[in-house]
Amino acid sequence: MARSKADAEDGEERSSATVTPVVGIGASAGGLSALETLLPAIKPDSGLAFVIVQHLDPDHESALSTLLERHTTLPVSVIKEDTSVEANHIYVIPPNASLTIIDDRLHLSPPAEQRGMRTPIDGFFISLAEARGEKAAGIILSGAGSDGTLGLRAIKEHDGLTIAQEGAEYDGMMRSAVRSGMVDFVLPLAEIPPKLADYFQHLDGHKLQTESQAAAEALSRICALLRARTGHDFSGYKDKTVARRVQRRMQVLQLANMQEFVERLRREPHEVDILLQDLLIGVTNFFRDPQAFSALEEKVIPRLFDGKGADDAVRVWVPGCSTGEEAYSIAILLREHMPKGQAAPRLQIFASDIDEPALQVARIGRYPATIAKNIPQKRLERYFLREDGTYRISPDLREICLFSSHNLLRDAPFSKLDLISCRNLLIYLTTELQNRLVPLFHYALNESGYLFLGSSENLTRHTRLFSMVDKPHRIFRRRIQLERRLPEFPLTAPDNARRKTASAQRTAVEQEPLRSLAERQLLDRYSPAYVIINAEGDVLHGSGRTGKYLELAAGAPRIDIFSMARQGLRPDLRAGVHKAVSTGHVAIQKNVVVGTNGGRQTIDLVIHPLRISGAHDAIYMVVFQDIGGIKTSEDTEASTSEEDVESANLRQMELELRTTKERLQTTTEELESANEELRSGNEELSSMNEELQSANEELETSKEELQSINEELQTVNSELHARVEELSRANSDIANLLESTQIATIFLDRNLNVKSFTPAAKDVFHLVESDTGRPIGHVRARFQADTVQEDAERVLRTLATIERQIEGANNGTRYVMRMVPYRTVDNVIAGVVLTFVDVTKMSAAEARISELTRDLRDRIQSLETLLDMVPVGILIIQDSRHLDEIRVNRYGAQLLGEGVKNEAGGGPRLMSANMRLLQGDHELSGDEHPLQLAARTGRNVANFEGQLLRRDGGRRDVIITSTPLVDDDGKVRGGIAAIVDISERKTAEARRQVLLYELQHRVKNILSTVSALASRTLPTEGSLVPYAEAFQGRLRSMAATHELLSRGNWHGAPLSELIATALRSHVAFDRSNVAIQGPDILMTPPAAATLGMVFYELATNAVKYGALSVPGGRMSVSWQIAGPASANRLVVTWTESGGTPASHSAAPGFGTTFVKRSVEYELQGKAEMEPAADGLRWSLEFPFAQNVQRT
Amino acid sequence: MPRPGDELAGLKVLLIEDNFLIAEHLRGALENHGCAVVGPAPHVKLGLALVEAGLDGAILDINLNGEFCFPIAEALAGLNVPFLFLTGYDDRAIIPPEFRAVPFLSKPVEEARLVAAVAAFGSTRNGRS
Repeated sequence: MARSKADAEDGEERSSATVTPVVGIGASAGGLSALETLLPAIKPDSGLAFVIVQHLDPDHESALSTLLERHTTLPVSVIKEDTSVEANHIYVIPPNASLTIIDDRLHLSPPAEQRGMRTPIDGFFISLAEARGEKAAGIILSGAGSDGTLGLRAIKEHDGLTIAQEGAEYDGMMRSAVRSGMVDFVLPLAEIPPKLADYFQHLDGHKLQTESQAAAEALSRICALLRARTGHDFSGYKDKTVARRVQRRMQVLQLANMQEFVERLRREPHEVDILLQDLLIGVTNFFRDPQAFSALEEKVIPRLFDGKGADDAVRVWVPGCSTGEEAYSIAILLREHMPKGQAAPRLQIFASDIDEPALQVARIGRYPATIAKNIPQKRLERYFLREDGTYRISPDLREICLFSSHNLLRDAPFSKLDLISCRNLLIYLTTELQNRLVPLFHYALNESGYLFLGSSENLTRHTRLFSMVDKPHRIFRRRIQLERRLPEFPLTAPDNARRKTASAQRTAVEQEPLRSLAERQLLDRYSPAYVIINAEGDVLHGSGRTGKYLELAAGAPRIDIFSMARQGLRPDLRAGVHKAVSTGHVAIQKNVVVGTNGGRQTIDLVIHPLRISGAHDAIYMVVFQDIGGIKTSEDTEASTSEEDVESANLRQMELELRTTKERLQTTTEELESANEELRSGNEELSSMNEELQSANEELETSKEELQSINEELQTVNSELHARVEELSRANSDIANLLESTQIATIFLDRNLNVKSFTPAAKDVFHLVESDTGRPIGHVRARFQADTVQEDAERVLRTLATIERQIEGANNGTRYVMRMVPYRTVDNVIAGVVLTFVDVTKMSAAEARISELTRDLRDRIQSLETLLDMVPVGILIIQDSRHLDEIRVNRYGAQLLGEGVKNEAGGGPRLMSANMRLLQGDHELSGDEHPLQLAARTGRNVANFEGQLLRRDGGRRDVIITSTPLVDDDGKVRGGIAAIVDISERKTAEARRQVLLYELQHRVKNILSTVSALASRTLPTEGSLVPYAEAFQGRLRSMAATHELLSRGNWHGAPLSELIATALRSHVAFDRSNVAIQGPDILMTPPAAATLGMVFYELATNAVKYGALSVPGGRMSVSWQIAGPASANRLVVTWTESGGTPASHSAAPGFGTTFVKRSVEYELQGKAEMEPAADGLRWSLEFPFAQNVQRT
Repeated sequence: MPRPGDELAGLKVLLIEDNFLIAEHLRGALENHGCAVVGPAPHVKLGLALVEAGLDGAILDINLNGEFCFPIAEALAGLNVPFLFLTGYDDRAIIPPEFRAVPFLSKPVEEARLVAAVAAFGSTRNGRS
């Protein structure tokens, strides 16, 4: 009988919606191809995480993840320590590791055990079950052996889903799992992923309601179906337990309604079997409920060894042992308290269950690493072997325990037990079943044996059978009961079984030994009546004929002797019992008169304590000794006629009887000894059976090891297979490659023999297939091949590559021959590889290309030279993405003020800095420059006029025209700009303008002067003739001065020339009588104009009235520079002599006034005239400033 | 020869002219019409010294022996004294923009035109006062 872990799980409700379901996939031999079929069927958004546990060779790197990646779009990664599990991922176990999952993280640990014994799938699945509960699924794919079965069991125990592959290549693992009854589905590979998706979807969508009335009815119908089909009656089980398992089955079947499930069970009886299997799953822990176990350890275990010697055995029964934890726990306790030395009794634990797969687990005795939390470290080390992430029960503990399939309710119990540990089994049974089971335990136990129950179980209705030892921890002790009768069997209902039991009982009666029969008869007939009571007065046993003293009291029947005592007996009985209990001695109450049916009986009442060895509580025999007969009202005496004859007969008969009795006694004794022999024979058989069983188990273990090794080999083999396939694919790839390249290739070995060659090699050498193995030197080449042998040797010697061009012997073909050393994967030189590439066309093309290149280079050179020669700045942007990379020609660089070496050629050079452009006073930003504009936007910019700001700060007026450069696709790729320097043109224009203004100014001034002169001189003269003469003379003088200035390009006029010209305008001028003397001085044009007129007036007066008017008159004009250097003055002295003295009285004429005033006004100077005896002296003095151009 | 008169009586006018003969000629013409001539001044320095003589107007030759008369023009404008240019230049482009609106007479000038232009100083002055 299984027990569920229902009570443990109730508190473990997960918030399931947030947890990613994890699907464990276990595979071994043949697993690779199964995975290759399975993975493509997984949708990329399934929301599940997949963890693949494949048996891998621990000594080899695995290519599994690489192989799998080709078959799925999901990311595949090899697990590293502490990998976090994410949805829609595939995780693969690395070689030589044990894998567990705790919460959301995968953990690796080195496997502790030798190869062959490893069960990584179990290890992972068990941790997966605990980490994920119902959000876990386990899949067993191809593989031999039995790894995974335990794991699936764990997953199913925790309400997860279990699936096995249908039609697996190696079906060992899958079969083992299916046999265990732990597999929900056996499916073809392609159907597994959809099933997973449906299941987990359904799981989230439906939480079953089991509390309703309808559900209760459905449950009872399910129980009825179960009983009908399997004979197991679960109606006694608590509803909740059944409901949980029903709910799980419904999730697996994806049914939402219990009614549907009932229908399904009715339709498919097979489903009923599966449900039964599920109902029997159970989990127990080591030392579950530790306090109870420590109470057991303290109060019971040591006592079990009391009075046991080396020949005795301590026998314990653990019914409903499930996977054996409880049995092993007790075994540990027994081991620890067993007396040391030779006298130690044998230990024997019978553990039974009806769940054969669970027993299988128990027999193997291997448990997940998580048990460590329930077992103290010391015990763990002492009683367990660490084995690949699991713990295995040590052999000495294992041999104590005997696991057998046994139905508590149907099969006969074990007997002569010292302890029965039956925890958390009764709670699943109805009260009725419990009440039948407790006497069974009572029967199976030795006198004062112990019963250990679960914390929620009790024996309140069976205090007669068991006394309390430890109430909180449910430890009971068997009370003594003289009659030890096998309870009615079987305990469950089926009526045919009941009949069988009845006949068995009859048989038992018939076989009772004669002696005891006789004794019983004797006791019944001839000894006083008695009852046996305990200290409380409960009747445990009674002889016949107690009716005279006891009767049933009114009301509910009670076994209390005091209430049963007849009239008059009760006080003496009470007193006697009290006396016996309190003193422990025999108590006698004499001459007690008991009122019995229709009379009075006088009796002696004897209360006799009975001491039974080993009994813990005393019992008492109450003997009713009659004294005389029943006295009625008329006491009749019996008659004694024919007494003698009858007494003789009687004596004879008594004699016969005695003889018979003696014979009977002998026979009885013989029978008993035969019985004893049978019993010991039976014991021997049983122990032999046990031995066989353990031998069988050992065999099973070694078989598993073999299977495991076999499986690993198969895995290695299949991986090897995959690699071989890959290799041959690579080989054929290479062959195809060589074929397709048409490169003649020859492989030589270290001795330069031909190892292999490609078909194209036949064009180069006279090679045929049979040449393989021949030295290369012996093969005739189709070209001048003198150096081949030598080259190959050198390659081998130096390991350097040789490359040379060779010419084919005929039709002008050319090859490039390369020789390289042949290196194996391990970098060992194993020969030489020769390749011949036909470069005939290539070299023709190369020649053509170099010709074109040369031509192009020439053209570029001419263009660049031209570019540098043109007096136009050319700026080029090659690439629009780099607007600041501007190349500029020679003229342009000069224009920009860049330092340029004065040599032609070299082409455009990169500009060293940005150029600056002004338009009016506004300086353009880099982007607004015409060139950048063109290169950026693709627009033409025509005749942009602006000023170029040179590096040296100078400015040049320029006109810029720019145009974009366009590539083949019509996209703007750059720009080009031409810059023309127009500064000189601008300067010339400005100068012309100035000249024009000057011309206007001078002409108008002359006209005004003439006009003023005309109006000034007109009215003073009487006749027009002399006026016209004078006017014309003045105009001539002005014209002469202008002529002088024009000759000097209007820079100025020499002072001496001005004087000479003025004098020369009068014919009488003669060198001999005129002296002109002074340093060379150039007068400014305005000063020259003024002085020209002044000297003309002076000369006119001299000719008319002065020294030149008479013969012998002389004159001299001299000048000198006076005054300090900062304020130089020019002093001109005009002296006339040898003529008539100047008249003072006469009013000064126009000439004199003009001279004085105009020198003053126009030259800012002074003019004074001094008369002399024979002439006069003019002195003109004026500043250098404004008047003198240069000396 | 225009008939002298007194159209310019009471007007005090500065005359800037570098050429002596022309200056004398202009002064004579103006005085013949009753004008009180201040100057004539042949260069800027002297001209600037005379601008604050309580003038009613000024006649400026632009090119004064190579230097321009515009500093005097600025000083006059600062004092709100009206003036006119009398110059050999035909092109007003030589004149700074701020003085482009100033009356502009080209040499040689007809006496009547000069007198009329100077008389306009009087009307401006009357309009001012």
